[in-house]
Amino acid sequence: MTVATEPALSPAAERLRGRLAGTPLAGRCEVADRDLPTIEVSPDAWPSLARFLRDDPECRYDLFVDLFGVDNLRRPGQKSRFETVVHLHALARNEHVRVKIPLPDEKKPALPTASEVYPAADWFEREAFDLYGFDFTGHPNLRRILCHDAFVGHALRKDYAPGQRWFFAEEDMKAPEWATHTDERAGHFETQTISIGPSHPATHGIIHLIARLDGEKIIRAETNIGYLHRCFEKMSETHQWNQIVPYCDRLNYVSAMINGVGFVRTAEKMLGIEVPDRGRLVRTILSEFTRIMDHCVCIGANLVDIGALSNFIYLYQNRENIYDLIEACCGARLTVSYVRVGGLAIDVPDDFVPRCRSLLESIPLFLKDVQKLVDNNRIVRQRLQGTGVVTREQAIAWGLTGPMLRASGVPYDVRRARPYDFYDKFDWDVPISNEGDNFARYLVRIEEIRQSLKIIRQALDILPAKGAVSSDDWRVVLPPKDAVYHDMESLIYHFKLVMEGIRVPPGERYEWIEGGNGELGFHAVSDGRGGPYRLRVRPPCFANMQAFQKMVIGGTVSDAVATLGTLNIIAGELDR
Amino acid sequence: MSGVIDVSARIPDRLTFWQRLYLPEIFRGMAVTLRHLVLNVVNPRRMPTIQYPEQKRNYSARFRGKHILKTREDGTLKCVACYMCAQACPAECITIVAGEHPKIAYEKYPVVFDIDMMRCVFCGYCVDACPKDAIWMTRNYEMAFFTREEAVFSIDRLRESKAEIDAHGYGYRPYYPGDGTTPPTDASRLPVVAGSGERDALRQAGVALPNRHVGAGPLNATSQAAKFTA
Amino acid sequence: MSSDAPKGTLPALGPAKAGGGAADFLLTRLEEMVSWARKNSLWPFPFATACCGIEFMSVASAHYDISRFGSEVMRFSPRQADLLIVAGTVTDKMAPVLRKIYDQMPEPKWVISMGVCASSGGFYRAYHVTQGIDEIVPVDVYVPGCPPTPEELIYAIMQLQKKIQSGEKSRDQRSAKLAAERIS
Ligand code: SF4
Ligand code: SF4
Repeated sequence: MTVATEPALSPAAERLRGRLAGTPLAGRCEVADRDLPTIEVSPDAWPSLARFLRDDPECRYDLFVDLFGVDNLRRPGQKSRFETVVHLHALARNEHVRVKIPLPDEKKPALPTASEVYPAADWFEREAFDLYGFDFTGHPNLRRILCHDAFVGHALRKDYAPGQRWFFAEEDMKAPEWATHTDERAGHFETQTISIGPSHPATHGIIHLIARLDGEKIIRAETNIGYLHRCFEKMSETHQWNQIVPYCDRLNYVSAMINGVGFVRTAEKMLGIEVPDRGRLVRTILSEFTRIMDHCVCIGANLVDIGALSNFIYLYQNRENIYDLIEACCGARLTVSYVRVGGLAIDVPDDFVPRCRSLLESIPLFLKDVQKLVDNNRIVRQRLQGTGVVTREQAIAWGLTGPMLRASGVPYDVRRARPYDFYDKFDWDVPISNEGDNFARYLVRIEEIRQSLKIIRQALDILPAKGAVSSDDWRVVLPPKDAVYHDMESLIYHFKLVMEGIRVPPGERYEWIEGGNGELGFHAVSDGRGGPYRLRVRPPCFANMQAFQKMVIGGTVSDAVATLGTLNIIAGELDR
Repeated sequence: MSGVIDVSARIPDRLTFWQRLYLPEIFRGMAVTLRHLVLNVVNPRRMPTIQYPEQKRNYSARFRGKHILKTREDGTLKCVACYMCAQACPAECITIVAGEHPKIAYEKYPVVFDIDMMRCVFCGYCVDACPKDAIWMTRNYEMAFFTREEAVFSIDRLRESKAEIDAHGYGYRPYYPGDGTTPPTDASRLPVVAGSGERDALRQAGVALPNRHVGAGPLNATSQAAKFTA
Repeated sequence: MSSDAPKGTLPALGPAKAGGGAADFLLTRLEEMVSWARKNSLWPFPFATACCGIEFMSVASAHYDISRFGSEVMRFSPRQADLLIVAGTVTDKMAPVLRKIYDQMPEPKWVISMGVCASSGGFYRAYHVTQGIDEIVPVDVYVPGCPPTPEELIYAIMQLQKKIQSGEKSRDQRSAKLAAERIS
C-alpha cells in the first residue's frame, strides 16, 4: 500500500451525497471528502441522520465505531468551540464515515443522544459528557464514567489544567440509582445486590461490577469503570508526537507494540512520509508476536479463572520467550517504546531472524499442550460452551470488534478489510465462529495465534536482510548519531527535532489498525505545533466492556467471571 | 490473502461418551503436566526458572536500566548541559543546572544533574536526544529505595564507574558495534568543539537553544503544559 | 533514637538493642526467630491495577517463581496477607479502595510500591492520577522502573526481608508510633 490517499474514498462520498439528496436531511448536512467521507450536521438533525445512515439500504453503516468531542478553543477558524465527532463503519462495504456535529452553544453544549439508534453510543456519550461536558439530551443514564464522582469540571476542555486533581473519598462513591433500593417483587425469591470489584481477582485489571441476583441468576448488572483513567488523551496534548509513544505502550500493555504502531501510522499519514519496507516488516513481525502474547495472556488468565492453572504457566512461557526477542530489539520487556514516527528507534539486532524462527518452532508446542488440556475437557466445555452468548446482530449493535465480533460470525478484521503494511501480501485466514459463546472466543483466539505465526513466517521470508528501518527525512527522524557528532547540519536538525518536536501539518486524520482486541484507531488533530492538538484513541475494550453488562443478564455469577475472561479487558486501554 | 475459516465447525460440538466420562480426559491432562515434570527432573536445564539472585537473566546489550553519565579521558563529564535530554524526557525527571566550565573548550558543564528514578520510565529518549554521547544506560536494574528522597540520583551516583559496568554491563546507548548499528568513527575520542562556535551556529540556524542557568524549578504538569499553551 | 529525629518525621526504629542476661538473650533469640519466620513467609496481596501487574504475573510464573522466596501464596483477601504489593497506577478513583484494603490487613504489614506510577505517579502528572501511593498508605519499599523487571521486584522483596530480619519495624508501626507521640 502506498502513502497516497485512498482513491476509493471519493465514490463513497459521492454516493452519500446522492443518497442524501432526495431526503429531508439534504439541506441540513454537508458532505465533504477528507481522509474519510465527512458529513457535517447540525445537532438537531443528528438522530435522524444516524437512523438514515444505519437503515438506508445503500449506506448501511451498521457498526458504531467511535464518538468523541473536540474543543477548538485554541484552534481559531473553526465553526464552533465544541464539536462532536462520530465514526461509523459499513461492514458490507468496509467503509468508514465520519459525522461532525458542531455544537453552536458554547456555554451549554448539547445535542440529542443517538443511543437509541446505536446502542453502542451509550458509554461513548457518557464519556464525552464526562470529559467535555456535552449534554446528550434523552440519554438514559448520563453520569460520569471515567473520572470519579467528586470531580469538578471537564478534564479535556482546553481551559482545564492538566494537573488539577480533586480529592475523592469513600463517601463520595455513588452507586447506580437502581442498586440503592431493593427490588420488591412479591411471590419470588428475595433478590440481592452484590458488588464485585474493583479489586477482585476475577476482574482483570480493575472493574467494578454491581449485579442484582435472583437466586443465583443475574437479573440486572452495571459495570463501573474509570479506575485506571490515566488521562492519556490529556497527556498527549501536553507532549510532543514522539513522546506519546511511551504513553501508547501503556494503553493496552499486554500488546504494547501494536498501540505504538497504530499511533505513529496516524502521524506518518499526516506527514505523508514513507517508512522503508524493512521498518514496516519489522513492525509487522513484532506486532504479530505481540498479538500472540496478548492472546496467550487472555486465554491463560481466563482458564485460571475457571480453575485450570497449568495452561497459564505454559502460555506464560511463550510470553517470556517472546519477551526475550523484544528485549533484544528495544531494551525493555513490556513497555517497548520501540516505534518512532517515521520508523523504529533503532535497527533490529543481527540475530533477529534466527531468533524469530526459533520462536516459531517453540510456540506451537505450548499451544498443543494447552489444546490437549482444554479442548475436550468436560469441565472447561461446561463452563465455556453456551455461556456469554452474543448473537451476530447483538455483536454489531453493541459495536464489538476484534475476536469478539469474529466469534459471533462477522469476519471483520482490519488487517483484511483495509490491509495496511503488507497484510494483503500474506496468505492467512480470518478465523470466525458462528457460536458466539465463550468457547468460540477461545477457539478463535487459539486459531489467531496460529495465523499470526503464519504471517510472521511469510514476513520473515520477504524481510530485506539489510537496509534502513526509518525514513531519512531528518525533519521527522533523528539523524544518525555519527552525523550528529561530526556534522553541523545534522546537529541542527537534531536540535530542532528534539526542542520543537515534529511539525505535523495542520489537519486531522483517523487511522485504524487491528489491535489485540479489535479496531484500534487514533484520531489526531494537529495545529502545526510539535505535539498533537487533540489525540483520540478508539479503544476496542471500551465497546467490548460496554456489552458485558448486557451479556451477563440471565447467567450466573460464575458465568460472568468466565465471560469477563474471554472479553480480554485490559484496563489501561479501557480507561486510558 | 486468503479466506475465512470457521473454527467451531472443525471441532465437534458435543463431546463423545468417552470424553464425557471425565476421567480419561483428566488422565490425559495429567499426562501432559506429568511429562513436563518428568522431563524437567531428568533434564534440569530444561527448567525455565532463573535462579535469581544467584543466576541472572542474560539481558541484551540494549537493556534500559539505570543511567550513567559518560566521562572524557580527563575524567570530566562529557555532558555540556544543553538540556536536550531534559527536553526530550516525557516524564520531566531530569533536572540540570548549567555552569561555565573553567576550561574554555568545554564551554558548559552540569553543576547539577539529577534524575528522579521515581519518575523515570526508562524509555531511553534521553539517550537518543544527547548530541554529545554523554548519557547511556546500563543493565543495572537492582534498585529499591526506602524513601523517595533516596531515589533522586545526582552526579555522584550517575557518573560512570568501572565497578558498576563490570558488575552489570552497558545497556541502551546510541550505537552497538557489530549489531546492525554503526558506531561513530572512533567514538571514544569525540572532538570537543572549541569556544562557543557551536552554539552560535545553532542560533544562526534559528534553533531555539535553551539557556537556563538556573534549574527548571519544581517540576509539575503545568510546566509541561505551558510549553504548548504559550 | 526516635527523640533525635526532628519533630514530625518518622522515628527511625532500628534493631532492638542488645541487652544482657539470660532472659534477654532468650527474648532476643525469640525475636530473631519470629523475624526469620516472618521474612520467609511474606504473603502478598497483589493489588495489581495496570501494566506492572503483568510484570507481577511474570514474577509468579515459571521463569521467576516467587515461591523460592516463600511468597507464592497470593492472597486475594487482605485479611490473610501481610505484604501489600501495589503494582500499577493508582488513580484518585481507586485511592479509597486501596486505603480500605490496607486498613483491612492485619498487623504487622508491609507495603511495596512497585513501579514509578505507584511510587510517584510516574510520567502521569495528570488530573486523575495519585502522585504516589504514599499519599494514601505508608510505603516500606519503593521499586523504580516502568515496569520494574521481575528481578527488580525480587530484589526489593529481598531488601524487605533483610529489613524484617534486622528487626526494623514496618512504616505502618512507625507511623502509628508517631501518631501516638503527637497525641500524648
Ligand atoms: S529514560 Fe526516559 S523517562 Fe528516564 S530520564 Fe531518560 S527520557 Fe526521562
Ligand atoms: S509504572 Fe509503568 S508499567 Fe507500572 S503501571 Fe505505571 S505505567 Fe505501567
